[in-house]
Amino acid sequence: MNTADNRAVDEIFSEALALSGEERAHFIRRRCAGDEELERQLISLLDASEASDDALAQRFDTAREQLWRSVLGDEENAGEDLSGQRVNAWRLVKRLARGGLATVYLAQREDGAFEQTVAFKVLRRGLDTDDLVARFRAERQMLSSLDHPSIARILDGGALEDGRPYLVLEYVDGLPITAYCKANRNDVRECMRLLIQVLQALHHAHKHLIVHRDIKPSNILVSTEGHVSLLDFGIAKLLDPAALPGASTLTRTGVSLLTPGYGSPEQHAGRPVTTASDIYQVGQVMYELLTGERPFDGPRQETDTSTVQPSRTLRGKPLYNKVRGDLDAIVGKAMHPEPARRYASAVEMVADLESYLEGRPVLARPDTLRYRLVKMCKRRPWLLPVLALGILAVVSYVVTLTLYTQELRIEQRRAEAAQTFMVDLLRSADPFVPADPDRGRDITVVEALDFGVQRLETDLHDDPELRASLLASIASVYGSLDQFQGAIVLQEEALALQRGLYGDRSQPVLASLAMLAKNYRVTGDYERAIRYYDEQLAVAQDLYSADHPSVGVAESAAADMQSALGDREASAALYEQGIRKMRQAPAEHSRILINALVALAQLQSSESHQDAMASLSEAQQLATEVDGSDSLSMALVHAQIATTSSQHGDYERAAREFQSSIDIYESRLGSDHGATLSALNNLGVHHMRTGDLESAEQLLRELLGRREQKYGMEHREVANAAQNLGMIIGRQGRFAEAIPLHRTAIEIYAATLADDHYIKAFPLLSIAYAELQLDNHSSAEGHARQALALLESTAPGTYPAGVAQCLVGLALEGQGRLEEGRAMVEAAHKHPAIGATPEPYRSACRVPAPAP
Amino acid sequence: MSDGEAEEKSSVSDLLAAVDRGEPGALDELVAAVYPELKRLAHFQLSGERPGHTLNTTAIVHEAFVRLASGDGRWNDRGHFLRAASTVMRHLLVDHARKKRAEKRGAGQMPLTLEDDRYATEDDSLAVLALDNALKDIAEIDPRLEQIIECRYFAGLSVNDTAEALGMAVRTVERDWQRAKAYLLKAMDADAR
Repeated sequence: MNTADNRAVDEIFSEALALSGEERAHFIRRRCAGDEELERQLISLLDASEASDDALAQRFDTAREQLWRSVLGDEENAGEDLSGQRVNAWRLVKRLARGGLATVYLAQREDGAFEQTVAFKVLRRGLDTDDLVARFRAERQMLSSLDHPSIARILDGGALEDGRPYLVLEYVDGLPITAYCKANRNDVRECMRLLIQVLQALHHAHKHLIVHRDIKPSNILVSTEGHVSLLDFGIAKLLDPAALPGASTLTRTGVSLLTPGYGSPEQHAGRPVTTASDIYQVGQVMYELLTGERPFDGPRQETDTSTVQPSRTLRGKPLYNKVRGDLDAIVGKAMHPEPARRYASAVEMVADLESYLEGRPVLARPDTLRYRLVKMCKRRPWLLPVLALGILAVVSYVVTLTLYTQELRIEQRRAEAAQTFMVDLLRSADPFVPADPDRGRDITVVEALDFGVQRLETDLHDDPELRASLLASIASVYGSLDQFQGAIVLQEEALALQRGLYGDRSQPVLASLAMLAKNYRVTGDYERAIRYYDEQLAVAQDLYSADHPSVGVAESAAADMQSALGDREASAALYEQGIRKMRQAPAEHSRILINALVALAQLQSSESHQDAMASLSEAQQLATEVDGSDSLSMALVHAQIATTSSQHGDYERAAREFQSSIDIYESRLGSDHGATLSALNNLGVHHMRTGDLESAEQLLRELLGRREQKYGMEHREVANAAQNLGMIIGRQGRFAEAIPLHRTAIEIYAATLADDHYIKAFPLLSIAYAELQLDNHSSAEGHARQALALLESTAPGTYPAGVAQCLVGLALEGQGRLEEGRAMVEAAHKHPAIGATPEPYRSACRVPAPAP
Repeated sequence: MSDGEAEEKSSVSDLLAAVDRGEPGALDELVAAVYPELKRLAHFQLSGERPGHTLNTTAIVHEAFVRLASGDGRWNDRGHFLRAASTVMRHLLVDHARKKRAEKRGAGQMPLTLEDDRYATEDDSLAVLALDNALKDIAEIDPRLEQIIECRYFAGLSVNDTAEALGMAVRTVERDWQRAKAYLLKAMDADAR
């Protein structure tokens, strides 16, 4: 239809509009005169003219507004340039960037004080409203409360002559993380290490209750040395406005300031922003690092529940296999549409990335299992640490690691088998409900695992790979529950399978060797332990370059062994070597590095207080940064600081530090975990050393009770506690009360230790001494002789041997055999190590005080 | 001075007439005369951002008139100004939308700086360009309809303001608006298919 026709139609249309009802109908019929096409057109135009124009108007209103914003944004980009100007002490050299709110200049210090290049950030002209000025001030305050190597420090601040505020920040010369990774040939592992730095900086901010809210590649710069800086806290938000005076005006959601496509779904929906929003954004950056693309073009809707999977865009590319599996799972978890189902914290995501880097199982895992576990944990919070250590690892290990090993069909079947296995395990009549509520808690977890092991005996023989990973995972859970024998059996089976599957020189084998070496050492099977430690070190050296942090891990493990063997020098040297290597990647190996530093400090304590404290403060800093101040690593550090302080006479600090370690263990592991109990014991011994016998007795009684409950009556730990409690009671002169405790120790040792174990001599000595004090000389002689015989054969030349000989002499004297007795005592004085005898034996044996 | 004023007055209506005739340079001149004030006000409005806040172009246009009228006296005819502002706004937004589209097609997949993308989406640009195209077709039928839509949609003017801008009776604008709406809906419908 041409223009003339259109005009003709319009003429009739206009006339018809002026009429209504019947008149209009008549008019149309008349003018159309049977032209159906014309009539149809007219009716449709008349209908449209009556339609509400709201929808149309709204569509254009939005478009108009958005385009206006865009026009103004572009105008701004061509706008103000303060380059060359001087503001107070700063000379603005050139414009670096323009953000939504501020322009950033490269600037130099001009007051001649010293040379300094900085970033000078000034609020854009026309934006200096009260609200934005307040926001700018808030950024300044927030930044000054943060102190982290990966967050640019604030150096100065003030206002331009026109009143616009400015900030002077550390200048970061780097590339956006995406560009950096691209320029460095996209080494995925390297990029993930950078991302770990980002998360650590973020964790620091989160700890100060600051949410960044605008994490995107252009806000993450990487220097040529690979140092990461997180920039632009411009729209950051303080979670607790009360902590920052005057910040309460900034509690808005900040939607309008978001960079499109980078906000989390809840940010776009205008819901409250939490640290989980930052995690989402880091996930998004990770996606972009892996694929070179952004996951979504526009904002992601809250209703979009699809799982984000970077590997989907990588099909057919070389990176595909690297990304599929763990990395997919990590991104998927970080970018979960529901904030509550993302990583609970930046450190949790760091841990998963580290797990990925070290080839360990990641925590990101399918929802069904996770939910099952989380539900259980909510009912029984004490389970959390145990589950975190192990069962979650089993699940995710199975589901993610096995997902990308072979071709699809096998994987799927395997994943299904694994999932069924775990779900069954967790479903088995809810294994964590104790059948008998009075029974110990750990036992029920162990029962659940035992059930799993039973299943493994019959199932999954046709899939050695899955079988090996399940065995290894369950073994690690056993290990974390102090069930070392069970751990060893399963781990040995896993190791045998792994050797066949991956070869002797492989990462899975390395991991199993490390686990076995440690478990054998802990159970006292040093011969096997040494063999495995040697192999672990050899495999690590074979798999990695000589200076690689992983070799350091193996060296530090070997040092643990040397330390257990008592070779202090060899052990210290190995720790030092290992520590040097692990320092290259401190966050990645934080736990092992902290362990090594603490162990080294223990060795250094007797030589140099200063060296020991230096190692400990490095460990403490690392623990604070990486694991948090209430982490298990931190508990270990506290305990060693306590011991070292105690050795150097700082008893007050020692008691404080011991208590800190106990607090952490109790809250993280529960009151009857082995680590909690050891910590209690250490504080008790400390009280004993400092003469606070009452506190010591109270603590050790508590400890004995908990150990009996945990281990039953026949356990070495119970014997140790009974022996120590007996000594403390004896020190207070209540010898008759002490003797039964020593007897308990003797009985348990008899049942659990080899016939000729020297430890058995200690309760014998204690009893002999107590009986002497009670004038029960003949019985004392008997016990002292037993101890002497044992010590002369197992520990000749040590001071206990001397003490035993002396106690025999004293018992003889007490029975009137004075000469015989004195001769024994004098012979004891000739004993080579007698000078080391502690009280009360020293005075009893009339050993002269050591020369000052 | 009074001579000068008279001359300026006629030059605004001349300018508008020249724009209507499509004379080269006339639109640019009009934009130069009106845009800075519009932009300044828009900027001012947007700087006090609140979530869910919308840009009120009507208020901007009125405020701009008050400011310009108190200036050199060139803009003492409110109707002229409203008309000019609507034309300038259309030109500005359409031009910008075209630029955005061109950038989108020309650029690689990696956005250089994300701030460039901060405001308008692809859809916004398309909506404005579609409106512009529809207006051209509608102008073929009746140029007055194009002007009405321009005032109402690009400047966000009310029916009364539109009547003032175009020197028409309110009743006429109302009736013409019905026609304009019918054609617009049909054009957009066709566009969507």
